[in-house]
Amino acid sequence: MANVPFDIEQLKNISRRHFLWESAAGLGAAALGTFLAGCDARNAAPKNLATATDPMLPKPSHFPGKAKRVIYLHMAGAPSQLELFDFKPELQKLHNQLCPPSLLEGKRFAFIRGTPKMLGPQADFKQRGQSGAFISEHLPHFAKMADEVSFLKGVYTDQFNHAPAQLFVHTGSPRLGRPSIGSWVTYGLGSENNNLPGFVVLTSGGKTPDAGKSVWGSGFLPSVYQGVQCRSEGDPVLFLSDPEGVDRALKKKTIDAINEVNRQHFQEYNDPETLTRIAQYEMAFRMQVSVPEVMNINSEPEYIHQLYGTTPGKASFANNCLLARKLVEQDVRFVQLFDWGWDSHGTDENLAIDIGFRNKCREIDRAMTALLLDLKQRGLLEETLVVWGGEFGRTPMQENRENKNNPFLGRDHHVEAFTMWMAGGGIKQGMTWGETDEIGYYPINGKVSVHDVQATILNQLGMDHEKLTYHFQGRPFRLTDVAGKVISEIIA
Amino acid sequence: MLWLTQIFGRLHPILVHLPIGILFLGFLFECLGFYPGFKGLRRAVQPTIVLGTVSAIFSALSGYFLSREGGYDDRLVMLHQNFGIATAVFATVLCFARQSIITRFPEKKKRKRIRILLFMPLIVLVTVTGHLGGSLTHGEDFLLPPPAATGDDATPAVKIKSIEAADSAVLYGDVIEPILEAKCYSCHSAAKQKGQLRLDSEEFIRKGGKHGVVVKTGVADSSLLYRRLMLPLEDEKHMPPNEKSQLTSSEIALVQAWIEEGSSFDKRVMAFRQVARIKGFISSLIAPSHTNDDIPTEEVSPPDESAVRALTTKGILVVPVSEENHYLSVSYVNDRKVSDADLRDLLPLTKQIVWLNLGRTKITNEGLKTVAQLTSLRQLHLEYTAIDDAGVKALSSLEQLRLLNLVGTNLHDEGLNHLASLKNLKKLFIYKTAVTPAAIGQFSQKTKNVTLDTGSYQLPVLSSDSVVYKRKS
Repeated sequence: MANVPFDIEQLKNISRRHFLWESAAGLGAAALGTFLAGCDARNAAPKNLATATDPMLPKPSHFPGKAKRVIYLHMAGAPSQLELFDFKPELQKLHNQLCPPSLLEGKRFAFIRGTPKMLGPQADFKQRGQSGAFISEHLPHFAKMADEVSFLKGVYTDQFNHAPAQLFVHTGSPRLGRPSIGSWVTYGLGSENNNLPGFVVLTSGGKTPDAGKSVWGSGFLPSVYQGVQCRSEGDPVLFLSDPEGVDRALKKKTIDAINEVNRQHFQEYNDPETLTRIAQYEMAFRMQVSVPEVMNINSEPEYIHQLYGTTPGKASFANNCLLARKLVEQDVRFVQLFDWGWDSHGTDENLAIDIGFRNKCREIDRAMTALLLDLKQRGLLEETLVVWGGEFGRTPMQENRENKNNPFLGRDHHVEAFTMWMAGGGIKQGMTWGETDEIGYYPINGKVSVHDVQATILNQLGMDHEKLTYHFQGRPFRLTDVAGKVISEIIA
Repeated sequence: MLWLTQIFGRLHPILVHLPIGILFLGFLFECLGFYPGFKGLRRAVQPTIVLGTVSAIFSALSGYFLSREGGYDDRLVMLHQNFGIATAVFATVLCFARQSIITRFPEKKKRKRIRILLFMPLIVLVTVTGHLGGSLTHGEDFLLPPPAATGDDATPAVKIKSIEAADSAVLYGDVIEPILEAKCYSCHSAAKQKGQLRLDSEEFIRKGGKHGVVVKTGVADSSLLYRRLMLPLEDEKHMPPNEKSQLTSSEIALVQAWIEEGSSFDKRVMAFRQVARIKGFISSLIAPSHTNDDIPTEEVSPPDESAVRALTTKGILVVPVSEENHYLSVSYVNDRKVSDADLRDLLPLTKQIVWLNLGRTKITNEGLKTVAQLTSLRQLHLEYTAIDDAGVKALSSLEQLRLLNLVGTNLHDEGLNHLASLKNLKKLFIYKTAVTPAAIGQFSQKTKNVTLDTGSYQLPVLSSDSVVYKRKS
């Protein structure tokens, strides 16, 4: 065969489709080559196959970062800042009065119609710790963390529906198709532990986020960077054990053979998705051993279960907090947690701001406090950035869906101001940045955008959000689009 | 007529550029005229001087009208004025006398010299006058900043370094005054008194300016010092002027809080009612430390590539700590079975390795002897390894060490004692070790700068932990 000038076997592989694809790609590549020459080296074609086959290989950051990993706690549905952190005694005085028209003119709300009434804070507040930050009595454990975290009280967004707002917070754009923040981070920095995915997603059971899996998708980045969702109940990953009669050596041979074919394919077509496939086969093989170990909280000692309030075998936020600690302990780069049920409209008991909301608070209070403490005592909080927040805030007005009072007390979606907090990873301790007006409607100081928060997360990891780009459809894209300013006020 | 002279006066900053440019041009023509190729330019010298003289006279006149408005450092103004007049006078004399003086020297060589000599004083005068004028508008340290101020950002020079320090700070002296100094003094202090206002001492602040009192104690909204800050940037009366460096929102909020709570010049931050709020703003002014103490500031040569490759082929992670330098972070997370002997592979990279992660590996005390030779190390992770006190003793050679993680090791009191000699140590984690509280107490006595975390945190069981809220029936 080798003597035949035209390798018939190889030619057979080139179908009409391949021919067209190659010629189009070839022409395009010739034209693009000149444009691409000056673009980010991270985006350039891999130099050799050794590095090419491992897109997750750790890379140096732009500048030395204080954080090496991120745990992002997202409260899907958007918790009320007015019952947790943003204490507004003046709002109490206005309780049950009609909302002044100046706050409604030119505004659009998800459900509020006509003129709603103001709703005073449905929680008692106290100043906590040395910093004197206000934290409500709904979070009695977390109240002790006042001197560990930095609060951002003037975060704003421009999306008042859950799905686009969640996409905005996680991908920097309210529309589908952009990579999520965890994908950007693993694309920029790679991941250290090659036995585990670099970007793991855990949901508390119940509802998944409204925006679906796109909130941890990789968008136009190679799909190797998308978040790997682990199941919150039962086996974290399905079909981990080999089928009967297949031992690990045979499995290894099979995967090696498949990957060899894939490598040849990559050399011919240079498609990064082939690399993803190679990496995923290898990762899956290693995960058969590593995942049962790290994703099993049964082996944790009793005092750790008490600290977190975990019940093994049940899907819960607390279990996920413990898992998040175990994952960052194994150098997983980005752990994304989603909790649900925070959409306190007052349409039913579970969504009532004075009933269901308080149950939600209880569910996260001990667990997220334990997470901070446990990271701290293991020396992990130093280099792990913890971020907490929802996709928007809630109105100082009581929701009146279709201009009728809801059966329970509730608040509508509010885009102008909400509270987030960050801790660890080079963030100031006991800091509050930003304040809202007397009723918590607008920020009057320290107003920060969703893009600012994203820029800050990347900054803590040593990445310049303006330099972390990916060339797609003729232009470089970045997480923060054309905006974003690092919130230097909360950086230690 | 007054308004006319005022406008004329305010044209001064534009007019002054004419004599400077034109007279220098004349000098250039004069010099070039000596070369045969530019012979024709000689005839342009006299008209250029005449034009320069006229503009110099107009500049001096407009300058006089501007100086009548006041608001500048008198000493500087007088100096500038005298030099300005001298320039105009000398230029006028030159206009009339130049030709006749030159013709007195028939000898070609001497004539050349006298032409230059006649021009020199004028050039010196124009330069000095121009510089003095620049000092008036931009401040005396504009051209050559005093050595102490170099490298400083535009961000304010708030002296408070931490929130703890904020507790003992005086709001005015430690916070407000530095803000005023950074953002207001350039026009409202000894050098310049725009609007007849000075802000560089308690007495002057109480006195106010042309528009009266600037601080109305207790009411920020009616205090000019605060109101002018809050005007829209486009507003002519907004302070600081549009083109100058503006106060940040934190700084404005601090000025407001200071006025609202009595505008006292000696009240401590802790004595304020809104102390938490004020501390938050002060803390926000503390700029992030750009220097990362976990990486040396000095440059280092690139690492030996074959040594790096020897490690990476074994699956050990060797990654530069950032794109900015050659320092390395090494992690054995993917090679936890590493033997003590294998660690010798690290030695060729002694200068470059600053972070080393050996957590959860199979290394023992023997391996620490090799680690002890990596003297550039700033972060060392040894958590959950089989090392004990004897191994830790070897680490005292790591003088640069900032962070040491010994969680879950066989560390006892004796081992902790050895660590007291690490001069630069900042953070030490000893959760899940056998160290006793007594030893920790002793250690903390000796090493004030070390944050020691012994962990074992617990959260109390609260009655609210188990309350499930339901609708009231």
